[in-house]
Amino acid sequence: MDGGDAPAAGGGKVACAAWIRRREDKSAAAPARVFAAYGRAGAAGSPAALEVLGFDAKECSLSPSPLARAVIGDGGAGDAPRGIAVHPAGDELVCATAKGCRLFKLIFDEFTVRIIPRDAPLLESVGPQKCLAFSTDGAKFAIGGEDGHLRIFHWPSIKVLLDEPKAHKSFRDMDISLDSEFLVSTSIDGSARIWKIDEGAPLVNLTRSSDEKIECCRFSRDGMKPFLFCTVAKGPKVVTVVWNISDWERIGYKRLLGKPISTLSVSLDGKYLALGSHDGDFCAVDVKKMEVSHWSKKVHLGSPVTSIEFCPSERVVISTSHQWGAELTKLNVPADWKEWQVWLVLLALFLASAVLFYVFFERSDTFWNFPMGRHQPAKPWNVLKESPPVPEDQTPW
Amino acid sequence: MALGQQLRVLHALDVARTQLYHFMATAIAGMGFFTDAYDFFAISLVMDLISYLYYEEQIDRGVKATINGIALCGAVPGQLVFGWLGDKMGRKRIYGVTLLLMVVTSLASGLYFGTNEASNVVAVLCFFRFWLGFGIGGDYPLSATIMSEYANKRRRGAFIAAVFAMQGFGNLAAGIVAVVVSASFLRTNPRRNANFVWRIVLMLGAVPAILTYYWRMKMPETARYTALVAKDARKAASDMSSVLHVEISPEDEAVRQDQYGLFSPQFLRYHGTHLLATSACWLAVDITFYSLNLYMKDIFVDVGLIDPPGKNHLFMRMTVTTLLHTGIALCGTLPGYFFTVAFVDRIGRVRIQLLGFTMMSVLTAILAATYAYWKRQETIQRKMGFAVLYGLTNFFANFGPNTTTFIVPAEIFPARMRATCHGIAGAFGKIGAIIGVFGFMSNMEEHGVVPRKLWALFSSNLVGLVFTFLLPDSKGKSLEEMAGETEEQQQQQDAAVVAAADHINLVPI
Repeated sequence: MDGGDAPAAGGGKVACAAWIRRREDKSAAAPARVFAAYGRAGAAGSPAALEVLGFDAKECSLSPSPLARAVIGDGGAGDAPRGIAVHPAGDELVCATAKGCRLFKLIFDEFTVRIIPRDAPLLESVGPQKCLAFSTDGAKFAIGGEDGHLRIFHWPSIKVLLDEPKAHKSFRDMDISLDSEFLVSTSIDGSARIWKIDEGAPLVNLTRSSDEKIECCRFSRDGMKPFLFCTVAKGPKVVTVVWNISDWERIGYKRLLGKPISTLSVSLDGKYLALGSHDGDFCAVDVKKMEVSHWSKKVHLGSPVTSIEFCPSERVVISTSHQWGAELTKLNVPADWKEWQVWLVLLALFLASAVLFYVFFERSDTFWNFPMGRHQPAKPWNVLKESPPVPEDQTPW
Repeated sequence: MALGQQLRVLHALDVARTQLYHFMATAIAGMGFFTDAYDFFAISLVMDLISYLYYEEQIDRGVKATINGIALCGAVPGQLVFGWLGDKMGRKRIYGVTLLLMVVTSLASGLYFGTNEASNVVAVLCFFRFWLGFGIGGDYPLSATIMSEYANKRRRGAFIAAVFAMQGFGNLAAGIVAVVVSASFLRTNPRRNANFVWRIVLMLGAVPAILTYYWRMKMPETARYTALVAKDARKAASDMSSVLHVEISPEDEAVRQDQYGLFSPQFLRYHGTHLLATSACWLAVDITFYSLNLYMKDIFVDVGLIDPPGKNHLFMRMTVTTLLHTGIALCGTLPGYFFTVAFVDRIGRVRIQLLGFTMMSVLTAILAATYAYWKRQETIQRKMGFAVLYGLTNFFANFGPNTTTFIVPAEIFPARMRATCHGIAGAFGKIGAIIGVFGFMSNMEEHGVVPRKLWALFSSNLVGLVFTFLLPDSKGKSLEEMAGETEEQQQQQDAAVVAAADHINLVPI
């Protein structure tokens, strides 16, 4: 655990964080560059500010000083950042404050980063927001307010697709599905609802018994797993429940962290969930097995984890809490296969088959050479004798 | 902004009417199948040149069968290895690896110039053809995934039909390329240029693979629940429930009794005949389909539609060969795909399979019984009837079991075991293809050999016909009830997301 709240940068604690993934325009095949965005609360002598920090993938650390910095609003107390949502293209981000949402344009050059505030009157007047989310295709942006007001905008035109003033009592969590079809939202009273985004209408309420409270919610990001993950509190016990999004039925549940859960997030490739607890622990869960594969204790000692953000390219997360700010943690999970490992496997198979081909070649000199004669009679034992090469790794299922 | 624009392309794919996006998506999604078909079938068209250059027109039948079929032998382990790697690191990344492997091995198969000894050249060719088949084996299921991700939600049926046809177009392209390349060398030194013609035809298989790779990298990462599009949601849910605690309700307790494994008496009792039937049918159709396609030229030589080796100018002969191949692909193989797409949900899968196997049996029997008659005809025009019957056999293979043997296993097995059972049936299909290639490994010029082979194919089609009756009818249900239940079940399951989806799947090579 390194990086985090460096005093040298000045300013208040990190209140919210997000990852930025930039792909260069020149060639689509180039690897994406990864940055982090911090939202800092105001402190004595410095206004609330937004920072962009560089990420070193080899060291798994963030740059000690920000590459770019911008003041949020006019520096008043109402401009303290509450949440950040980064557009999937990595060129814009929205920061929620007590007054409303601020839109910032991100410009990345070879060596410099600039943050340029943009006017978005429709966003700036929405009041305090609890949840922000961009859809995966970047065409939708949804916000859920403290007053329970749900708004979905088309992006980048910021035209209103859905405007529901009384969606919930107050928002607890929200997410947009991988295919941008659905939005799930939960309320502080424990109810959860699915919205059809294009139609701008509610679809179903997730079923729950009277003593259950649905709290955090995230759609799966693995295309082969069309599920919705929710944390459900039943009295003092909290379990993670999986819904099937084709019929909105529960598939099953599992108790993973064993503590009251404050936040839930999912990795960009959909392989891991992260659960943060109210006492400062968080864990990473392997979605395929639904088992805990990483557990960090007391990362935010005694303070609820308010957000966990997965790095797009490495198994690293940024977790935040009000008391301790931001912490960067490298997950202790099995390393993903790299491209060169695949080529290594293929090369090994290639060489093995080359050896087998050569052995066959040496043992059957007459097979490849001139035929014995035009009118060679066809006999079954000839066919068997001249059987074709069959490599060892040819095994049907 | 490029990535943002790319992301918005994906949104437009769903919402917009058919536009340039969709034609591009069709080309990208289908290019994998196009490449597979080109690579598999181009080799038979250049076999004459290899025989001419290295074996003085007297190539041994074992060598010929090996060159023709070695790529099929590579496809089986390729499918296994890349399936395993795809689970490890994600299918999208493996897709690039399979395409690059296909590019490299296509080029390598034509680049050995070390010596002109037959054994060296042909051995190296077979080695790289094996690895090309390995890459194709990995590419095929991934192309299916890419296809399902790019399909427009409103016009998915038409989209899938277009992707279907890419295999036919790949077969067609192999013929066209061979005609053009051989015709362009027609008037110059045949011995020297033959060396270039067969290499060019094989190496051009790298071009669609490179195009696929380039276009694929330019398209945005897809954001779809492919399990829903591919109707695998129930399997996904079943896999997930196996690692979760499941709340038992009285309704669920009844369902739980069905939690039997693949190697269990219950599976054998409920689905053993289905697995046997689907595997046997797939085996039967691929025996016929691959042998008829890969040995088309040899049969036509024997019947007299094509001049025998040595009698005429080499490139004139190759031009005629590839024109016949192209004509049969254009008029027989390709329309079969479209007929199936048009009628598969109207007539029903099993009926199409029955019709296909019946017609294939009848046509191969006619070809075998009347073979001597066609051989006796004096002119090429009169022998064309044989080619017409041959093309009709290909038509009913595709408007018939070649298509339905892929669709049916995806529908009749429990969701939990569908992928495994489909894989088993598909493996039998590949074994059938290998049998078709090596089983025809005999001297076509001997008297009576070809009719005997055709009667063997007739028997194979009869086997397929018999096993087709073991498909859903075995429980006494009518086809309509079976199809109705299946479709109802599917639509209920997927109604929330893909209510308009068609029940059409892809045709394998």
